[in-house]
Amino acid sequence: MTAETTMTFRVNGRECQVAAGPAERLVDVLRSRLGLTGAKEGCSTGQCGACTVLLDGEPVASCMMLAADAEGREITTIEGLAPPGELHPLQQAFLEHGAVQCGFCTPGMILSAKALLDRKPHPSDEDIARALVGNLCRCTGYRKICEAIKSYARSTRGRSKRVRKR
Amino acid sequence: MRFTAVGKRVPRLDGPEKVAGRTQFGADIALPGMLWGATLRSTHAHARIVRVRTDKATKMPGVLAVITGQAFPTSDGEGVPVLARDKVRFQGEAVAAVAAETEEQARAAASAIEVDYAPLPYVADVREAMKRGATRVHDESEDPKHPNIAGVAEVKRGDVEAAFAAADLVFEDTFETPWVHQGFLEPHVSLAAMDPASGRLTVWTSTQAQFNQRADLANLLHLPMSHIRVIGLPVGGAFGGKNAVCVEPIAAELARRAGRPVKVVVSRRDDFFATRPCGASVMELKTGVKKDGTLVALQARLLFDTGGYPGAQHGVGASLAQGPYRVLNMDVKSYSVYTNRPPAGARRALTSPHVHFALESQLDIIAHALGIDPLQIRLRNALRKGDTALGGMEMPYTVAGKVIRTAAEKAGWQRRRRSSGRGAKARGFGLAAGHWSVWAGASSAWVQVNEDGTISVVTGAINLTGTNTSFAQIAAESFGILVERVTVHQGDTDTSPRNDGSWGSRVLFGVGEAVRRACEDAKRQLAEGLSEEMGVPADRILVSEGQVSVRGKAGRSLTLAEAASRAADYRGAIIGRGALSDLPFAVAVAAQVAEVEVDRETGQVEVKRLTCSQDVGRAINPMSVEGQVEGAASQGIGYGLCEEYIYGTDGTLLNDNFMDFRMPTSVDHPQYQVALIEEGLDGGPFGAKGVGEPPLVPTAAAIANAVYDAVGVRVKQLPIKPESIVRALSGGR
Repeated sequence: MTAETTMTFRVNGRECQVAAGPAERLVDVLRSRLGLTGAKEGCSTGQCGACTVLLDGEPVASCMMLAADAEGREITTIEGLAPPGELHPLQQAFLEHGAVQCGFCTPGMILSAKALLDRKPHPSDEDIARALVGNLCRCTGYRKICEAIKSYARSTRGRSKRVRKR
Repeated sequence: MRFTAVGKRVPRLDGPEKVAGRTQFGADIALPGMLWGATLRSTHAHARIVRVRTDKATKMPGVLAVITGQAFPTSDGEGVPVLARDKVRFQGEAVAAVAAETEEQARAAASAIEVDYAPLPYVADVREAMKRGATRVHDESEDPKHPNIAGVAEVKRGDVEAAFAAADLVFEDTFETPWVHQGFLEPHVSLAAMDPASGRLTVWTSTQAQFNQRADLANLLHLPMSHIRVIGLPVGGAFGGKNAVCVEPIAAELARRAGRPVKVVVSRRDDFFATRPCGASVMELKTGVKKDGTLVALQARLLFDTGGYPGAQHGVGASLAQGPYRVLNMDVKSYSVYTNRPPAGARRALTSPHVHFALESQLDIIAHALGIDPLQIRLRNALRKGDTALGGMEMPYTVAGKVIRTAAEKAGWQRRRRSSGRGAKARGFGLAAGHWSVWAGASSAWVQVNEDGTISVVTGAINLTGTNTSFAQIAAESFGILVERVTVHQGDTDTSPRNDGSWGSRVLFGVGEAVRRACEDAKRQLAEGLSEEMGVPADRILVSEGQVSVRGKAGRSLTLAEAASRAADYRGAIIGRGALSDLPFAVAVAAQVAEVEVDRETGQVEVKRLTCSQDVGRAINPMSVEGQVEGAASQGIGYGLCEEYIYGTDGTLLNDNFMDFRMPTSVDHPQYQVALIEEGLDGGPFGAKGVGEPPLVPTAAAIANAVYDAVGVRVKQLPIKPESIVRALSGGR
């Protein structure tokens, strides 16, 4: 086995140094070494989207990426969306619209939505559907997920984003 | 009746952890000293195992235990060996397993196990498997003519021959459905630990049925049930695929031998070809009708592919083959047939989607042949109270017609406009209905009234669909308090009362009623505890609206908190108990109208709108019910249009991943319209019945009927592929 090296990233706003092997995937470093188990592994081939995290604000499948390639970059996981004990209003919208059933796809789904909304705060229905195409959900049939995102986008119209208490 | 908590749109109680990514699924759990398990699986569809050599694997770095078929002399409750013994009957059948320090070491050691196979001819199709002289999947079969029949069920009533003779027209059609995966996103995962001192085994697992797991594990591991604790974890989707034991016994046996905890995570690829997907079917229907569309006779031969081991639900297929319609003369023979495919498991509504695809497609063929509106032929034949259904039961209410009519009205059926113009895209409408029977099964719950007046509900039912939230609503309604004042705990096999698995749409119906009865029991105990202090007989004490008061006397009331702490002084804790298994069955009817657009040039079908109506008895949580309907219908769209296992000529699965096994994505979802009908009340809580499975039943047929409406092509084989449509439109076959 090749020796571990130290890698440095910013994870959820904090600088992190992790010792990991050169072949270690980002999803393993996040889940096993940093204890950030919000990224789920559903297929290991980048097809289901459950392991989605944001890399410099863009959604990536963390099962398809080497941790070493994330060196020096900014990673956001579901755990970093709101301070502990609080929910981001987008998470709140998922909850209130019944966009969550088993919850396995939910972290990745929310992060893909977050990336879209950061880029385009008031997306069309088509924008939303396209942004989620890499995130499979077997429980909801997608409609309630799209509704949650739309409702959040509507609520931010003319207001600054605020993090609400749970 | 006016409700305060029932019927409200309550977000899932476990939702905050889920949106925060803090829910601990099986793969997220680690124990100190934990090892990793890996399995070696058969590369052959059918082969005799000549020799298994484990010596090399045993000596590999990090390896602590290696097991083969000899470790499990007993097969599971459905007759499936945990590890193959004499031969392998499908590609992917587990042959051996390893526990090692790391996942990589476990995998490397598993692949270092050497198996000598003597390949056998294999049989992959139920029609082939039914032929005389077919390859035998099980050598010990005693039926020389049909060695691959795993089970037969028959539903017979009336005089079919006479009815066919008296029919104006007789239709004969054959329909086929493919193997599909349930499509849950969380792969199977189990973690097991055995305490070396007590010999007690604890298994954490993603399962729909923890008590059944316990019974199966006791049998497979030859341990007393009292030595086994199964902790059902949050489940990342199941849809029937996590009913049976999977890697639980492997993790447990490895943990017993290694003396350390073992976790086994099934890979997505293995989950596709080696767990229990939904089996294929071939269904031959012969149906006699009068000119006015009245169904007079149904004869059917249903062949359900059960793969290498039993599991296909041929009995359910037979009992539901009449659809939600009155059929006085019926002769249905239904078979489970062995092939060299994976063992068939459950999938949302078992074989009901199969048989309804056949029947509802044929009903459309009949309507068009007779020049009758597809809506009218269904209304004419819809089941009414007193009709015989479900293989011989009496239909308890008249609701099917209303469900079908509602779907049609909401979809604008009468105003529908087929655009069969000359353009590339044609639009069509298709209607289909379906039904499902809901049985309570063993259902139980405990309800404790806490000294602050809050309520704790404990059940052993796995919370898949948000049933815990509905239980909170039921308890809140029973005591007249806010939903926020109820907590619901899913206990494990050591800490909660026994429940059957979370299948068959039974949990809300059966366990929900157990929760309601436990609440009533707790209220009765409160009244008895306070009777002396309040100076009135217990039956005059009323618990409602969060208060305990004396009937007919104003002013003498206690809050629930006061009452609970005082009653506890007299009686100990107030713990209500609800346990039942004897509710009369409920029939849930669903109907859907699909509006599709078919591209004549490419054959692509897009579902634009799906209108769903369903009798749910009572929608305890309408938001959750809608979620079930839309999720099931989405699964039905996949079943109708894109999902199927594709096998190579060597019997191995070619599309063992989500790229090639195509499930609907966010760009494939139609506009949904959902109408919930709250009739046909049953013995379920406040009249509720099961909701999760019925809405998958009619979808594929509704789409097939809409495709016919749009372009005049009748596809009798799922999924409806673009090439079938293009071929038919260009005049080929």
